[in-house]
Amino acid sequence: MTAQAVVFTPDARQSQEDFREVLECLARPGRLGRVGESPFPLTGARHAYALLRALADQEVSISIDGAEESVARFASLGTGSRLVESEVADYVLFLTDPGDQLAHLCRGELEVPEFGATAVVLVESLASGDRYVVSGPGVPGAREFRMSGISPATLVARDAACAFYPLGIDIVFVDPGGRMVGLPRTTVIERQAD
Amino acid sequence: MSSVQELVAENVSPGHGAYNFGFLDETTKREVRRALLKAVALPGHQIPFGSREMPVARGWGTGGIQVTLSILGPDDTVKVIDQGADEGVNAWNIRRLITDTSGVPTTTDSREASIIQTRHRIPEVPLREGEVLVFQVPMPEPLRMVEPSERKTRAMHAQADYSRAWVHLYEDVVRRGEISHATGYPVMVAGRYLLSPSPIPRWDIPKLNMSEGIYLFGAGREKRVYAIPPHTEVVPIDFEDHPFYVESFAGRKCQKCGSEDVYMNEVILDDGRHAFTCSDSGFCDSRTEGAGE
Amino acid sequence: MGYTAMQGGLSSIKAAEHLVKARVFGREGRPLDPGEIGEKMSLGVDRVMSEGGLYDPAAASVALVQAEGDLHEASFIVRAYRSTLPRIAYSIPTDTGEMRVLRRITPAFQFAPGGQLLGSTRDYTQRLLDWTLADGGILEEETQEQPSEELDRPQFSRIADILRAEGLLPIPEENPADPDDITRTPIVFPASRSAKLQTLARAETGSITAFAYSSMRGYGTFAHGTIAELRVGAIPMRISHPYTGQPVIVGEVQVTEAEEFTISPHRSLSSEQIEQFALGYGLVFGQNERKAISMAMLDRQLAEGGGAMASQEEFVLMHIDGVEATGFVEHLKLPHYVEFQSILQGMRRRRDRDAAANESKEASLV
Repeated sequence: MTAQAVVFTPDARQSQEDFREVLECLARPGRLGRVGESPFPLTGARHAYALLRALADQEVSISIDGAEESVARFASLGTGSRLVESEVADYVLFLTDPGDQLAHLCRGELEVPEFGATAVVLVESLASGDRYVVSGPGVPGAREFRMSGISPATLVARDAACAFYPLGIDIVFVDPGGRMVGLPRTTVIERQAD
Repeated sequence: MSSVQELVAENVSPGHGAYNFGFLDETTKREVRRALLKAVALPGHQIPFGSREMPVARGWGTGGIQVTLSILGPDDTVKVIDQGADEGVNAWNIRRLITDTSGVPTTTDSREASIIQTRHRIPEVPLREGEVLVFQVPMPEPLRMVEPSERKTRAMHAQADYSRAWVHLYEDVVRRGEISHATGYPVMVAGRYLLSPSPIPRWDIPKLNMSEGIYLFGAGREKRVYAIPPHTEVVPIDFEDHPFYVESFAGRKCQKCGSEDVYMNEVILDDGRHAFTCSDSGFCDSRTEGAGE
Repeated sequence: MGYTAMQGGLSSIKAAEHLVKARVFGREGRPLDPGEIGEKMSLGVDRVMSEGGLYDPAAASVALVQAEGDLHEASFIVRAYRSTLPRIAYSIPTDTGEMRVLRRITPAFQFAPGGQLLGSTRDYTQRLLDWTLADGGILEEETQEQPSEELDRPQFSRIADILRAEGLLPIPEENPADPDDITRTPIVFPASRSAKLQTLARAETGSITAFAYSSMRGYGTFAHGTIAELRVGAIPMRISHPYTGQPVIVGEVQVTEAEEFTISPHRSLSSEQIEQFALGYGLVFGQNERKAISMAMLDRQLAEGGGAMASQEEFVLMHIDGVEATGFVEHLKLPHYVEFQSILQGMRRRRDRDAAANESKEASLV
């Protein structure tokens, strides 16, 4: 078998790198990670879309929120995923502050909490903005990160969606520069006054 | 775009002269990756996945192999151990499958590895950030000792109803005067899910708690993955008057490197004497090399 | 010291591979001709295709040669090969009424439309070891006549359809949902019928024969159904043409199909509903009648449920896969000294503890 050729396309490699980084981010909530980019009609969301492409394919369903229909169709074609309403989607890409909508995503069931949705949320920045402190599994004590573009209503809705662990949703925040922060359902998050 | 189409585009087809990087096709890898992300978000919860048939027998590490091959990239350095040893025949068989289909470098030094695939040991040197330990798991269900039905154990996990596991331990104490459970000691993860750590010795159980690295578990035949993220509380279940304890190698010394504070293999020599050596061969090698310098 | 740790894992497994290959090549230094295996050991090849879950007589023949005739090992090789193959398309359901029948028997009726077609079967041969085969064999003249492919085939109507017309068998409802795919999504319990049938169709022949047999001997919900019909033949495979969307035949697979009538023991006493038979269904690749019959029997046992061993879906379906069962049973050959050391320490500790306790008890009695 040693003589066999090994094929690894640039696309596949990008997906692998993005996956490893998001694995670290979800395993270490609040840690600042980086994700690659993929052509997308909305330039600011190229990195957020790259993450969606790394994870979604014909086996799962997606929903694109905060953009016109043609953008959603682009994402569906690019990933091969079925386009569905956000309430039943496996993966939801929010191109604007999701607010209350997070509370309506699929949270899974007690026997299958993994059916809870993954939300990829485009934020203004993960380099500056409000100070957030997270704790829980994956965090030694507490960890801080900065984020702007997320309303208090979004965090309220997120906490409501995760109120009955193990049911809940898992979030990855991505900014236009390709920074990313993971927020699994196990994490406690608080906005701190500066 | 699936790898198959890409391979066809390059006029080669899998199985006839070329493999996708890491053997598995990209669709399969993505499925395993999605399951792994949910696994770290739900520490200790078992996630079903469509385990593929591998060119290695079911029950011989196919779950760990699928996890490793799904997360593997060209920048990784891989270490493969079986019962702690890099030289084991099964370790070699798995290592050559990984390297032949990916070309990634391998190491026997756990400190140099970014991915360590293991059967039934955790290296003596604690994991650091950036390291992933992939366990091969024969029986992922910690409740199987009290309940053979998958349907029922799923319901027990859903309700966090672990009373029968406790009764089982209690009965053990009544019968044997102690908790006799040897390897694969059940642990509570982040206070919610009971988890089977795979048949690692008790010696390794404390290393699961508040680790710096990520622990991923793959059960190929049983088609489950699960995870313990770093900095996560992992507690062996025990009783106040019968607390958890680990194996003892008091008074033993590795015949090769002289280490005393490690898990050891017992060997029976030709003259009938019993001797001990480090179970973690990479650790043992680093100690003997260090001594020679 | 006197102890050196075992080294040379890689050279050992390479040497073992070499020995295996030497056996496949034999003294003459050449492997058996897979083409001849495919033709003359076709029942073994059929079993490998069925248990390997891949209809590819050429691959199964090579696997049998490579595995030195070990059917489990050959099925495993075929499964591993299967998982490297791309999924080009999904076939459209085939009505097995279209079968090009090579053999068909109807134990439920002495005569049924189309008649009995005994075909190629060992059922009524005398199992006398034919030593002449060791010397090249003797081929009688009538054996030399190859069965004509142009045979004027009668139309075989289904026995099940005849009983349906009488109202004694329920008319199956169309299920528009896509079937589950156990190779992509692990089976969950309670299992769908499609997941059950797929698991049975890939099962190891010996295992499901044993479960079916146990049900006949009393460890089942009912003892003995009646085979409505057993057929061996070729059915067409169609896919939707990627451009026109029209069904197009892309090949033919040989299968064995079994249908079994059973009477449910769970009928309530009310006479509002007419009592009907239930139908158990078995369909497997190639000619493998004992597997098809066992599958039909277990299909019914699992549908009926109840406490009997052969009716417990999780117990049956989780233990009939040959690749999984042999893999796990044989993994006991792997080193287990880490685990055993832990177990051994416990045994020694309890031995010493109990011995000390007994000693002090004796001492206090003196």
